[in-house]
Amino acid sequence: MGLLAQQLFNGLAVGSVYALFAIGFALILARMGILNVAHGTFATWGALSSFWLVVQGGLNFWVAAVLGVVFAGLLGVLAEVFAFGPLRKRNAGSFAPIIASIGIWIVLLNVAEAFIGPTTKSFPIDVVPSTPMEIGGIVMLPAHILIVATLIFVVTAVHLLLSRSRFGAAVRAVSVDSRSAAIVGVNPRWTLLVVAFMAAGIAGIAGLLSGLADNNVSFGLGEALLLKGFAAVVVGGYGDIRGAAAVGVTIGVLEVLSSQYISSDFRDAITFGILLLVLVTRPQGLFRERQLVRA
Amino acid sequence: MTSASPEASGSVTPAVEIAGLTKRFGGLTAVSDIDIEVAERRIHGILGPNGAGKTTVLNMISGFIAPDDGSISVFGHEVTRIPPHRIARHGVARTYQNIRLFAGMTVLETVVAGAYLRRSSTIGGTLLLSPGERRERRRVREQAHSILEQVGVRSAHDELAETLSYGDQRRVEIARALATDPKVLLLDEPTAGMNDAESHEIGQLLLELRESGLTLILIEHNMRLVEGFCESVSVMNSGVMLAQGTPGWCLEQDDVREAYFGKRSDAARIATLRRARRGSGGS
Amino acid sequence: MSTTAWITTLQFAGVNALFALSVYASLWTGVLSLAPIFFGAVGAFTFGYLSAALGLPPFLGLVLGVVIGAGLGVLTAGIVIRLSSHYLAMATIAMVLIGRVLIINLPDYTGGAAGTLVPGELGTWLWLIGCLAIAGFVLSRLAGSRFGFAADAVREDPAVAQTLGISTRHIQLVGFILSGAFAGAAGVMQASFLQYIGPDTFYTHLGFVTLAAVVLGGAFHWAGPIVGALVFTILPELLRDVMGDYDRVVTGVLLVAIIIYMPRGLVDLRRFRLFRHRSRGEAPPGASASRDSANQEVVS
Repeated sequence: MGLLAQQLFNGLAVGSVYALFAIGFALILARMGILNVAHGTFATWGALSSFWLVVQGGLNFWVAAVLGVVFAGLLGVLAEVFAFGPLRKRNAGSFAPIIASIGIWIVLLNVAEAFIGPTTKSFPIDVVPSTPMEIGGIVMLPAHILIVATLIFVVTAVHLLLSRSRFGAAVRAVSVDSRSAAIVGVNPRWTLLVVAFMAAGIAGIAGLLSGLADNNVSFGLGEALLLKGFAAVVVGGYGDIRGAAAVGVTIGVLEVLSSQYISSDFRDAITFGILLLVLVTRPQGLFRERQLVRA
Repeated sequence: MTSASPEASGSVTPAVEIAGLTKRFGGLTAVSDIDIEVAERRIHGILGPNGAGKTTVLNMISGFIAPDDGSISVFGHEVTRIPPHRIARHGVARTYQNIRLFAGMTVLETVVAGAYLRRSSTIGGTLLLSPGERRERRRVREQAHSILEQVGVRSAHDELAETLSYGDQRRVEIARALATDPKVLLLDEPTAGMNDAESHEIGQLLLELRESGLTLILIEHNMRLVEGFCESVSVMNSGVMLAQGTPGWCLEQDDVREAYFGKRSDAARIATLRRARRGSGGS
Repeated sequence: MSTTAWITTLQFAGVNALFALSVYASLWTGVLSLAPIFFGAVGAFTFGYLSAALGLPPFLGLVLGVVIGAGLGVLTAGIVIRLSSHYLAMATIAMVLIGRVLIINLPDYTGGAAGTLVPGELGTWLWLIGCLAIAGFVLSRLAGSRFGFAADAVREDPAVAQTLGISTRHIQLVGFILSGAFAGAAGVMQASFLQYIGPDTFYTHLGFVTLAAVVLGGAFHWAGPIVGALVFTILPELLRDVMGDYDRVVTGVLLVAIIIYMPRGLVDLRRFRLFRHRSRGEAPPGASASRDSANQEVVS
């Protein structure tokens, strides 16, 4: 029982990173109609830039983390300004944004490799406290508590922002019909830039926390997240970020439980298995989506 | 067209039979309990103001949208809820309100692409350079040229279809639909954007096609075309059928006038005025 | 570059062209798929394993690669064809990511992370040009055929294609089979030239180069991917002297620029026809009317 609870918590921490990543991925898909495969590299750069600021710049970890997340967000803004925006203006088909995002992926991945080198790095040991705490019989690393708390905060904040605020209404209006939205006084360009910043910034948070939790900062950090994030969005849907987040957490829990109780070889097989099962049985996702209007 | 049906008089199966057709989008009922019956070799018009649900009916016949309720059959074959390509194989072809030509194709290629159902060659035959496949290519091109002449496309057949005039683009769409060798042709506003002379030519084309054995259903706003060429019409408003019958009779109905001209009282007044003027005009 | 370096570069351009034709075969039917990289990996690793275990003659290995690729094409099509275009593209990218995990986790068959050596008998110009010639012949014959026009129609407007009696799923299944067959051959050829395959041989970088080749060359004529593959294999080699490690970044930047400014690629009959139309001195009156609708996806 104690072991199960312990593993559930570990799974929750692993899954929370996937969930954070999936939120941004779903946000861009639902609100901008773009399948952004460069999302993984935003996560990579969130981790890399914070790492560099801590190690080379000697900054305080928390300051570096905030700057790293902002940097990742700005990469999202650049992608919108130089690739997705022009394509939208030209009314390009549905493949063009995917191809453009692959171009962005290539650029950011290769610059990342040149920037940090091919080897794996890790944050200095003591950037966050590393003494485990015991709560209710479960041993928790402070980093893991930080991850779970961040997920809860981000999900709540983004959900409230999108469903309750004026800004959320503007985002919904733009994602349905940007021309009509412009008529009622919403600035579609500005709104999309903010969404792009938010989504990429959240990817940056996911990347940073992933690097922190696994003690593993490398240029390929985002690739692993991309697959989990995609699985979470396919299974959980992208219309409501809470769905994708819930599935992201579930994938993490299942991964940890399966490597504990079945075999660690099955860890990756879990994600693929769920993905395949859902793609075969429910090609529209588990929860019905409204059809993508802007393709 | 080659499929001039040999059936003589006394044919009981209508070409298209629609019964109780209903479609809801969310809370909105776009089409509500519609019945339409079109006999073979008829030109039937569907009228109604914008948003009446006319195109939704057409989309359900060609299988783009599955109805929530009701049935559609073509020459006695139930086609409700079967995929569009199988409905096409039952002899249903169509054109579109917002012209949908294939980008990058010439006029001739567009029609050849439409002739898929007239071809029977296989990929194996194509790769093994079979003489039959070569003959088929030549035959289909010749047929495409003659269909284009039949519908009256004036531009060169090697022009990019998307560069043609509006009227010719509509004609190429009709030619592409005819290339499937259909029995029923659905036309969504075939004369939109055309002047009177061009519209009249389309009307003549409709008569020719009917003579060759086709059944035609068209959505149309041009009343002159409807009154001149349609044998029967259905008038819809807000998803509901208002009247069915001959064009002249339908356009006299108060419901129909109200749908087109606004409030019932206004409609009645306009009708009275028209009658009065016709009376006083005398001649 | 030295002469030998040039020859090697051109050989890899040829293999990339084969992969690009494989991506083209799917795109022709309106499917954006990176699955060819996965098909190529399975073909190559099967080839490597059977050559070592059974002493399979290389030619049979190539045939086997084609058959396995085509079979995987059928299987993949069965799973992904019903997905919307976004999910479908992502699912095939997922296949590439999953492929690497499989290779690492099946060391008994693939050599795991260390990779495996494969025989190089097929790594000659003769076999490469033979494969390309066959692929080019197949695609050029199909271009004017019943299937070819149906594929064009499905790519341009699947909803309209269906009302012409064309089953989009059938056409896309054929596209996946062609794609799989070409990719299987490409995988075996790649392995034969390298004489070594590992988890990173058939991974995102190959996928990127292949896709960039198709986009630059043009996905609307079978000659496009071949032209694109030549450019995108040779260009980074030339740039390497100037750019150092950043040659791949150029690939990415070019990909974004091309898709914005020349979305139909270098080999584009439509541009030629538009040019001819203008030189005939006629204004295109309704030119914009059909473009908007061509991009809409209709609920079916």
